[in-house]
Amino acid sequence: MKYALLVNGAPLDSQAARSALYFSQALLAREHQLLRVFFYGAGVQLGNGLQISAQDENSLLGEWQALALAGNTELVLCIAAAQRRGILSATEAQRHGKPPVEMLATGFTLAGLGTLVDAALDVDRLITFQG
Amino acid sequence: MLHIINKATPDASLEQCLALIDPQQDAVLLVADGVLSALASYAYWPRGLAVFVLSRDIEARAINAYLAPHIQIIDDAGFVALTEQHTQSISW
Repeated sequence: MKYALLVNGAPLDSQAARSALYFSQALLAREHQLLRVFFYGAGVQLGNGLQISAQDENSLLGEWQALALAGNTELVLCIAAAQRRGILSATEAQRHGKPPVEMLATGFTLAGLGTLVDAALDVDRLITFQG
Repeated sequence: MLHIINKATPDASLEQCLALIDPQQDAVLLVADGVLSALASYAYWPRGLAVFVLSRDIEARAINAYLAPHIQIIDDAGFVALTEQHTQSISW
């Protein structure tokens, strides 16, 4: 079956991103397709490429990036939610007159809510992970 | 319909969920702090309703020994299986 996920919870303050990761790994193990994961609200903080995990801790971001490669999955941050939290691509930063720093983690894209709606129409299941 | 609850009671989400639920067709999956509602001391589940908890989340909270008898423990593969069976889900 084709799946998409919506992740609303902040990665460090809720279980949402980790629960969604484990669910995604189980999805792929059961040979489902995970087309897109849409990070919304505080969930967009996962896509901040400037975050640094302690060396003796698992990197939640790294695990998501590995999953996206394994599942050929799109990781999408809501652009409005990301902007409000200062998570910008270099081009977005420049467009808003900020220093052109690339903050977006590898493998993530910024897009509007329309991509969530598109995914919802395209897949068999849309599962939400609340914060 | 699969109802996914991630908040501990007292929280309005479980109450609202139970008000809408069809015990014959729906299932409840408790995740994260939501698993606390699976404790035997929580006795408000409608008769016949299928209630599942995610094993990882009960182990993290060390409540394995205290669950109500009708609660079914599943792993992540079981979670995926529930979403296969239920066309729709609501995350409260």
